Amino acid sequence: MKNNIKIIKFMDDSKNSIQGLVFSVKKLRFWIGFGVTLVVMSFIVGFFQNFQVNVSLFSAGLGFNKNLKMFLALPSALFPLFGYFYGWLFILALILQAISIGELVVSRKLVNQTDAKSMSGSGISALVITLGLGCPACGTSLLAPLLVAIFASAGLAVLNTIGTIVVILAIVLCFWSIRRLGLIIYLASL
Amino acid sequence: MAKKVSNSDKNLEAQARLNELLNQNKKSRQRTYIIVGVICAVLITLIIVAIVYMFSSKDKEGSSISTQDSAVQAAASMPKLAVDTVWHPAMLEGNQQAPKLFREYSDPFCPYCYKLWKQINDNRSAIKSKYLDQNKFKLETRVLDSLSVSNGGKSVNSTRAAEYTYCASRQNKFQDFWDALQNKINDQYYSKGIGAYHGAPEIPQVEDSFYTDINKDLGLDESKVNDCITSGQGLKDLGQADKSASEASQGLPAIVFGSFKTNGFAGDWNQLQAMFESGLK
Repeated sequence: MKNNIKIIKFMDDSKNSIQGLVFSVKKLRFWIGFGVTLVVMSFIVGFFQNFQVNVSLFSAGLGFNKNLKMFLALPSALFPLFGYFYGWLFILALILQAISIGELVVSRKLVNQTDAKSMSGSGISALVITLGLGCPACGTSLLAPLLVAIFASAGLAVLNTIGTIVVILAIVLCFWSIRRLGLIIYLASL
Repeated sequence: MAKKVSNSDKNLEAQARLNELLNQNKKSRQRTYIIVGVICAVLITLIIVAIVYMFSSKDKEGSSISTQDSAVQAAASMPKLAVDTVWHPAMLEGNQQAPKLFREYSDPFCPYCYKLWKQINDNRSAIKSKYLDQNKFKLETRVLDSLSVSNGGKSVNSTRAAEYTYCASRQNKFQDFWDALQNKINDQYYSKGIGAYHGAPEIPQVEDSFYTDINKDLGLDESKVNDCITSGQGLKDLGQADKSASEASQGLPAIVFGSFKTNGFAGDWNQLQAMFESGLK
């Protein structure tokens, strides 16, 4: 009986959070938050996707113009991600991240305070996404040295699995933030 | 009237639920911030540790190659190759007298090494006219089997592919063989989503005919290739490269050009040119 009540409450909250999301997308603030997050995250992802090369090149003293050109080209590292399933997981994580930040901006205006848990969920999700980037097979993923330090060469064997788990974890965190913020927005808009 | 009351009740209920969600209680908000702060600090620390580890210089004997590796065992009596001199003239592009050396460490079945090769191959005439013909540098590909299963990787083909590569180089056909091999791996595997990226299905073990077919197309002397393989000469060449390649221990492709060093490549021609300019400074 208690479980049934919990399930009904969960379903109700989910329905309300969707209504909250629908309310948010009609606001300009949402799209500003969404757009800024997407742009910032695309630069971050582009940098960390190939970060050893990027750090080496940016610190090589090539001059402002060349550095600026390289900086502006960073988001182009996202394009190859569209070619395969795992890349689409990353893209999904980025879009969900942007949606949760957009909702955060709307909720901030409505309730005059920032929801600590949702903001934290988004922040942790961003850090987790960063960890999963790179080429695990070639050892240039950030996870590679961490796993090798713990598991020695056997760490490379589990790298792919853990990398996938890391991105799925980021997606789950984003969904949780979106649901929570959607509910806050719905309740505040009543 | 009843409707108004129910709306008002609804609003009160919503307000109460909202307050509950927003943790109006200062203490519980602080607890949330502390817990989240700790988690973020741990994640940031892990990221920083990973970055520092990747950039720390390592001069390990035999780099990260396992001492159980058959290639290194085969080359046990051979000396380590000096880092800043050309290892195999047959695997060099450009004038051997050019003052600077662009070293690229690659595994035959490394998808990001393929990306680097693709940029070099697609822009070969520009690289030749702008840099090699002007003796600005020479470009050497150093073939390893760092991603092989015996070295803790997942590639079941790297060692054999590298052996055949060294045997082809002994007939001065390294570049033709390497180009044909990369194209074949891409056509049969990477372009079909196999072995090309994180989470992709692994490339299955290929037969020796995968390599001997290339040899036939290139007109290599098959008997010499067979001798090279059966005598273990290819394996010895590979082993000597493996035990000399400390720069490759932090990821492939490893690129060393003067003071410019890095690992990995997912860029384009502009990024490759930036690497050339960095090393030529």
